Amino acid sequence: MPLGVDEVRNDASALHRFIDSLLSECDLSSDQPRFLKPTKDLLNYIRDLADATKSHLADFVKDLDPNLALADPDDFCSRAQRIQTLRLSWFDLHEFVKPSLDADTLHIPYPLTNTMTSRLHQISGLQDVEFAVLHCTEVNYFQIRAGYVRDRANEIRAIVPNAPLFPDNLGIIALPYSQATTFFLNSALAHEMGHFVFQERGISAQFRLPGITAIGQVSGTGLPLQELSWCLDCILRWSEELYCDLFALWLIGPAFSFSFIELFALTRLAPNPVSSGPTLPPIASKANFRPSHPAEAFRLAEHLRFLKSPDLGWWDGIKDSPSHYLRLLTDAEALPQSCFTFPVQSALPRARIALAAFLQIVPEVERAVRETFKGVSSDATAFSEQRVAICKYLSHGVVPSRLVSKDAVQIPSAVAVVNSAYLFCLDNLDDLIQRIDGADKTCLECRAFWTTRVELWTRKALEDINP
Amino acid sequence: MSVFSKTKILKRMELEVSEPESLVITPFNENLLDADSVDLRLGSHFLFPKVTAKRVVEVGNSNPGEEFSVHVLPGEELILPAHETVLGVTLEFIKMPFDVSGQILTKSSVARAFMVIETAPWIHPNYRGCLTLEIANVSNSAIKLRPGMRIGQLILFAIDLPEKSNTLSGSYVGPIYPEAPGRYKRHPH
Repeated sequence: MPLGVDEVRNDASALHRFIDSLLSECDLSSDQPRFLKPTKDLLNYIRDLADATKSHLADFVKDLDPNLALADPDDFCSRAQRIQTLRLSWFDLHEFVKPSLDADTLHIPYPLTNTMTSRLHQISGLQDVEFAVLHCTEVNYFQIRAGYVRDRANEIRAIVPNAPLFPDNLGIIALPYSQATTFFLNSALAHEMGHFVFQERGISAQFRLPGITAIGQVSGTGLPLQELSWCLDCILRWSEELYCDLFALWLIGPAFSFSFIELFALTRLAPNPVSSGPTLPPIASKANFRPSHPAEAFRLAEHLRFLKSPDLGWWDGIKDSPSHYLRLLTDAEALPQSCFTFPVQSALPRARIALAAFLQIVPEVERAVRETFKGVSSDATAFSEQRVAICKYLSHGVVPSRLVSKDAVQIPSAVAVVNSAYLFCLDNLDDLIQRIDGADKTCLECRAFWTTRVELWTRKALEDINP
Repeated sequence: MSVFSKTKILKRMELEVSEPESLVITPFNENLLDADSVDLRLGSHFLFPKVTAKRVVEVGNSNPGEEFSVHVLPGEELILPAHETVLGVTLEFIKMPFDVSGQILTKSSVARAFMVIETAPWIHPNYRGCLTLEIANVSNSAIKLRPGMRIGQLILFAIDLPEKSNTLSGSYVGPIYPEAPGRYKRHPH
């Protein structure tokens, strides 16, 4: 039985109440907590959209004509259906509100995100990009596809003519709520910023033709369209992930690789420095590609190759680190390409083709990252010049935001501070602990305490450098 | 006991951090210096006590949940109501030389607004960290606090027969946020 005017009015009213209730949560007029501008922009956008929707619903109900329901039931049904469409779009937007409100300035590593955003602004065409940071419940970092939010907003705009446009320059990235006050692990956010750039600039298109060509070369014969499409989809997804990894390395340096190793709990696969080891190192157990992501071992290998490239210039500055993180990277880089597999039981031949073709276009991905960062320094030189001084400050329990040497006073590069401090925690924490009266370097609680202190000093240094 | 002059302060700040005689004040610009003191600015983190009918303070100790943190971004402000208190922190991180003690004084312009910033103003040799400020609005009006505002003055004194030490000790090593009494007093050994 078709809906009547009363039922539609009730539906509109229910939606109005839903939006009203959501709107009350987005109230930013209170003094506390405080939010960064991008989060405010996101919440204000949702508020404006809510106001426009409510206003539209009021007009919609006012214009409901009982006679129309009888005279043209199809048109009436179509109008009623729009309420349902609006409702579904609002259910989707609802998902963003609480995670945004949880991510106030006390609960996000904003000096680090500010540092990364400032560097992003050096990239041509990205000068006004900002990121709203959300909390998520998973131990994962991700980017909300800007196109997804824009689509939901556009669905609403298609019905609510006065609805505001979703800001073009606003990205949305998420971090695990439990890690909001840690620092180094959040270097992983640089990868999520890469997703925004990759998607908004349509970089995927650059890999389509090379991907098809590589598939053709690997398969030898023309693949059926469906299989070609499947292979190409895999290649494009892997290319995006690799692009974002290399993007993150250029944006924040090897700190990204270290956070990657921690996030994926790969340290247990680091080789023992004294053991001769098996034929293949333990990291070889992470050589399987998945449909969504390249293998962790492959990604680490590419990280190190990229860090070693002369235009990034990181390798000379980090190669002497005795850290097991570095040994893990080195092990991954030494893996032969033949050990990477893509075990899709249902489609082994085409899986082999996809993997082999992807390996051929890896240089294209590196080229795309270089093109993105054209004219932007990796700051590896500053790191090499400032690392010793930064570590000296940390080992004396001092925030390294103003470095004094015999020759000069220097404000260090933020990227140099992050990477030096991360390596300090990996390699030299004992230098600090031994200066603390009564502190025991073998005590877990003690190490955790002083690592947290180093993270806080790093955070403070970034606040001082980039207020 | 002699008070450090501007020249002497700058000279100590030119020493490398590993020198026991070095003084670190960061962030820093020379405009903060006066003839015999360094102006200190207000940081952006605050710790408010939770005032409840049942709360009784045990001096030197506090329990989690008895305070709440507030962060104010640069360019924004915090309103401190009349007769209320809050723990704040200096924007500057200080590393004291081994042979120098310091004292923080409320800036006269702040004091004349009937705001007290420091009731435990002595800084020991070798201290390092941002300085916790016990801010009390003793006036009858609310007062605006802005991160970055000049709020105190650091006076430095040379001490007689200082003892060099290779280790850091003391109650609070390297804080950058205001810390409640007792909670972080002893770092884990």
